[in-house]
Amino acid sequence: MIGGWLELRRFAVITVLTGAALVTVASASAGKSLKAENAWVPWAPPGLKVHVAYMTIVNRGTTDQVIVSAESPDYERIELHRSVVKDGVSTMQAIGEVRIPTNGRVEFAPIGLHLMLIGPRRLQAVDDHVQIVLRLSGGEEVRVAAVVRRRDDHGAHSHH
Amino acid sequence: MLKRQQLRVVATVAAVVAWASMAVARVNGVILDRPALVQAFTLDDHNGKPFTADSLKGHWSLVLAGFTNCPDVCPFTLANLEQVVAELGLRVRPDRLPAVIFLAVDPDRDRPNLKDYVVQFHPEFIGVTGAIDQIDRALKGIDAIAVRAKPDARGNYQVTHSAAVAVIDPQGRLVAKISPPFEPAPTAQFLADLFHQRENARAPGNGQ
Repeated sequence: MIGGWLELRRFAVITVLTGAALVTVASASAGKSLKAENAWVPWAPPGLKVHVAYMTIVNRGTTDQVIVSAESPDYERIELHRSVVKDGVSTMQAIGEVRIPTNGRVEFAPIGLHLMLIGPRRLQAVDDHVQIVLRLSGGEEVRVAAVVRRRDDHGAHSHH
Repeated sequence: MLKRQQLRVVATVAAVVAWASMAVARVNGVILDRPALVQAFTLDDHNGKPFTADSLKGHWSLVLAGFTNCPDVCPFTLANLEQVVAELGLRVRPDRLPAVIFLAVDPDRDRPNLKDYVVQFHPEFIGVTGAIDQIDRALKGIDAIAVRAKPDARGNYQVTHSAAVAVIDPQGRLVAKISPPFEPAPTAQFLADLFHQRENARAPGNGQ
């Protein structure tokens, strides 16, 4: 009787551990289902304290993903922002999170969503890469290497 | 301030680009029924030279309000204006090409970086700034606004400002405004059309 109970407890523990392991695997892969494409940072002259990063985030996973913050070793901090032009007036708002729906994509592009990069820690040249980490609500992270380009090289209206 | 009824929408996709039928892009342009003289103001350009309402005379100008800590909308607009002026070069004589003037409305933060910020888009673009009351006068002259928000705990603050670009004629009068997205070819066509129309109107017996 007691032996059977222990057996059951052991089974339960194993089940829980296995479950936890599966969850871990799942959350590790959640970050992998999210990809950043065409990430770039418009080159800015030295002295400017605020830069911007644009990219397309693609979610090929089976669950929605939520970007809650971003950071970079190349900047003091990063804020998620949205520019809005409404009634002829341009405003910029910090936003708490960006949801990337399953099988969906979200554009970080001029006059819209963007990553505001604050306080560059080093001088940048064209073709340098800026390392950005996007943090998801589940604790996962997506690593992005954004190339530094002149705006006219990329073309404000070009779509790769 | 300009009254809204003074503004007449003349350019939509259909209207302006009708005869440039290849262009599918948009122009958001309005031409004022009556041009409005930009009233006196005194600012400095990015080289520290005085820049006044009279500096707008003798040539066409495109004037936009912005601030150098604006990483998204302002650079997007300036980069597009560079392309607009390049496109205009294919359509009008060099002496009719407009000056591009960036009215920096956040002087404390703008002054140190103004030249670098502006000339990255074109070496002839001009950044101007100065005392707040003079900035406000210049803003009024181009029918624009700017609101500096209260600083956050880190001392950072946002600036809300008009997104439109003011078109100033060689008499120093506000004659039109164009709004995003400033797609280069149709915007250049809109401006070329406007320049021709105004110059024909001023030449008796030559106009339509």
